[in-house]
Amino acid sequence: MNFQDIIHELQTYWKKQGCIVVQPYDVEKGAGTFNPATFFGSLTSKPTKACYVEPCRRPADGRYGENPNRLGKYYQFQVILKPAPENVQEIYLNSLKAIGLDPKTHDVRWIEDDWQSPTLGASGVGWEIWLDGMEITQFTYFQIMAGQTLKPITAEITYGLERIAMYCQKKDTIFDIMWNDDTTYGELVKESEKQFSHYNFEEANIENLRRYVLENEEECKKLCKKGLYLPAYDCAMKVSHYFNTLEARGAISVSDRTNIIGKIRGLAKLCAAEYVKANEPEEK
Amino acid sequence: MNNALLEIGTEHLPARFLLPTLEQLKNNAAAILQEHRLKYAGLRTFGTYRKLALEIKELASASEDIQKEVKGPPAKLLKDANGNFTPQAAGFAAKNGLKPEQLITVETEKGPFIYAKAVIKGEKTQKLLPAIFAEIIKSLNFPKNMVWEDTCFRFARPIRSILALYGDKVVKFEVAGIKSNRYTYPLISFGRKPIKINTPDEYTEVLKNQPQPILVDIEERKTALLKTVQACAKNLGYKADLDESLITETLSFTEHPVALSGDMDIRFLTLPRELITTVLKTQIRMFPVVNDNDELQPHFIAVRDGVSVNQDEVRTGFKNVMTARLTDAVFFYENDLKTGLDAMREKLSTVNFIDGMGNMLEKTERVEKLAAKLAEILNLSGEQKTAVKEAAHYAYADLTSGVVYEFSELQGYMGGVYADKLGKNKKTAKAIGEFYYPLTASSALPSTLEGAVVSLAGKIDSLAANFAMGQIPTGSEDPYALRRQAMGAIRIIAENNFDISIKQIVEYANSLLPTENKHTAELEDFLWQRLANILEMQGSCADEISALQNTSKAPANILAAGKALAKTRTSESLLSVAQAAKRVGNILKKADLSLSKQINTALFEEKQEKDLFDALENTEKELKPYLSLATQENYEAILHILAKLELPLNNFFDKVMVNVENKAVKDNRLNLLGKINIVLTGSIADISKLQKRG
Repeated sequence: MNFQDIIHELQTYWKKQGCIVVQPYDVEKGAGTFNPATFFGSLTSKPTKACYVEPCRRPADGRYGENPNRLGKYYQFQVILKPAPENVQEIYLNSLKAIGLDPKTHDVRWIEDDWQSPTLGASGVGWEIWLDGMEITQFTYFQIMAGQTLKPITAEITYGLERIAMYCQKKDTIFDIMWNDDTTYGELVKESEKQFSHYNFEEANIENLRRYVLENEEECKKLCKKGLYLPAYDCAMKVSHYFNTLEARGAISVSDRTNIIGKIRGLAKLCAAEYVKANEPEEK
Repeated sequence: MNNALLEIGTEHLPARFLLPTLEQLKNNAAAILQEHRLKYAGLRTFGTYRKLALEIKELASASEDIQKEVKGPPAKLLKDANGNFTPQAAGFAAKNGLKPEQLITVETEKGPFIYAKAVIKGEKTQKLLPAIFAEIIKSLNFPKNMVWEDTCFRFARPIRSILALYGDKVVKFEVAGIKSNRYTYPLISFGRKPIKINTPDEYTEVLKNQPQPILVDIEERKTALLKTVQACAKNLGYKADLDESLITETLSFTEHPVALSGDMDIRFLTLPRELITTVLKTQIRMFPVVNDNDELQPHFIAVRDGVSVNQDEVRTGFKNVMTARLTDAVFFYENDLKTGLDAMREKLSTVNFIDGMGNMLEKTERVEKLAAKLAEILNLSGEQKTAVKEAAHYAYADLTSGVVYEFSELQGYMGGVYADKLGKNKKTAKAIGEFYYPLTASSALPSTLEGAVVSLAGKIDSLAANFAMGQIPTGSEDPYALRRQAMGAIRIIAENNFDISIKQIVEYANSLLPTENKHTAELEDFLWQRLANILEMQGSCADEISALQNTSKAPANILAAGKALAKTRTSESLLSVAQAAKRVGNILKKADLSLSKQINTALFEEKQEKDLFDALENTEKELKPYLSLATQENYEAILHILAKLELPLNNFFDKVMVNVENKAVKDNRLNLLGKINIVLTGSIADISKLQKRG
């Protein structure tokens, strides 16, 4: 199954399960969980079902397109279900069938893996899911998001699309994955991997990045005060991305790191609080 | 009387939770059933990562009756002047479920009182079980909990079904929004068609006879696992490395273990053995394969959950994952060899040790100095000193290696491998490889003298540094595993017979710290406690341990003295001397301490004090040959000699008064006792601490 078909089949499957097929959010982010549909979506009592492809940027993970297993930008397919349905594990296993991986004929193992994001002030309980020994999915029941205890509980399912494609297509390197019948993943992304690695590791202007961090932080706080939590959250995501770039650039010390992560968490909490204020009826 | 069954059907429980939870299930059920006065013949648990089950054998059909007797108000309050029951009496009766007519009066020491005497009838089990089962489920604790549904019930993973039977009847109740019924479920990958269980007795059999059998009995599953893994290994012509913790983990992520084997590219066998087996066991949960000489073979055995369909593709999948992981390992390993130990060591300056105690490079430098000092004190040869120096120099270098970054459990081992491969002296490599030994409280110590010295230096520095920063373990809180390190240090000193005391070694370690250690006394006591643990394990009683408590003596000597004391203390004479020693101590405590220490025989007035003096001189003479060598035999001889003081000591106390008017005579007697005291408390142990046994 081609890369684009895996995406298509997953979207089709989850659409049938009642999910809105949301499109990727256009601000850089390190993981699908940052997508506002997930971040805000998990916060209030209103039921939500959504799925989407989310490009994730991890500047420090780039390898100039030379390491067959590492990318500075890759794709997650994420599903969020709130409240988590009673048969959510079964629904997930059936989604594997939809992409040609019948759980009956493979070994599917659920390994304890409790996710947490100090940046988002979030944590959850769940598993990484192995298919014949390879991790293909992260499955999390969110417990806390942006410092808020959640109710109802959201299930977040994150497929590692490249891993799954490599497995289905029996490829040894990410770059050999067939995107469609005649184009490889490598052809589409290799040059970008190379250039962004140069940028992230060598060229990114450290002073500017530090300034962007400060500016966006200010902006986020200001916007939150006015109840504009959506643009405020964009700013918070940008702070996170510039921080990741600074880290790739080797410009972050240990104490810096804790400090900035704390800042971003603070911003995420502000945005979440504004969102809940605006969208959740007052509790008794 | 019927059997009862409770099965909590969950989503995948973390493997590490399974066995402890089943243990809890059994214990909690026993406690709860007892509390409800329900008798039964036995309890059994079953479990997989999706099922926690409890069988109660021959559960009584009702709880036991109990006799209740409650004392009430004085008898005069039973009835009023008109012969009617008073409100107090009526209230007391009602409170105890009786009518006032049923109250009785009982004569007590304080006069007659009203008593309620009643039999509380047992209740029907059928009626009690719903609450009991719910209580059992709620009683389970996990290292980590979650919530997933509206009632916010807390459990390790979501509960999705509850099977509850008493005989052939469903025990109806609800927990976490789940209503109990008589259904269990097949392997998750094979759908969720309910499996009906008619009675508790057929539970394990029905599950076993499914198209995809489920072995819910742990022992049965373990037998099946070993069988399937061994069969696989036998097919290959070899044996499986049946690592105990991997077996336990595998049991905890399978309901029906099926092993399959595959090949490993032979080029990986050039990697250090522990690196390969660590990748296999801890990263991908596979069993390594060995030949009869325990040499690693280029194969693997993996275990999947469920029968062998599509085995070849699954095998290929497992093999690819293993290949990718081992390829990573090769990459890290080769990179590390290229980097070399010196560069790794330099990089330690970027690794924090503990706040206030510098980085790991600074720690390394302290350990080098401490190790050199110990080598000096312990009279190591020049060659040994060289190896100690080199091993200490690189002891922590592998912490910055790629392999140890990925597999922290290989710290030390990899350092030893790198030292060996990079051409360091064999002794150096061995010492580095065993630097973190003993890995558990009772496991092997470094096997060479050089290794023991370096390992000891590392541990003592960690202890001193942590204590200096006030990081002292309390209760169960011991994040830096200081207890284990202290135990390791004491064992190294004692088992190698190092002639160094707790006080000395702490002093050396403290002198190298960047700041003063204000918790030196606590550290000495902390180390003493480990030594006391060993004494206890080798059979010393509490009073013997306090008699032996001494941080200025070499631990090996204390252990030898402990053995001697445990063997000799049954002697009545010794215990009698102990009593006298206590008396000596008490007298001296009250006495003026500025004594001249000189004993003047001319001042003796009584025969008994002269006798005691002679006995003392004789004792000192007799002790001399035994004091030079600290062996258990010598210590026993010393104790026998001390025991001989029984008669002169007792005679002395029978006849001689110490605190007399004449100051010269009195002081002379105190001086005599002072000397006696030194012999009794300082020769081997403080004899005065020994207690008479009842």
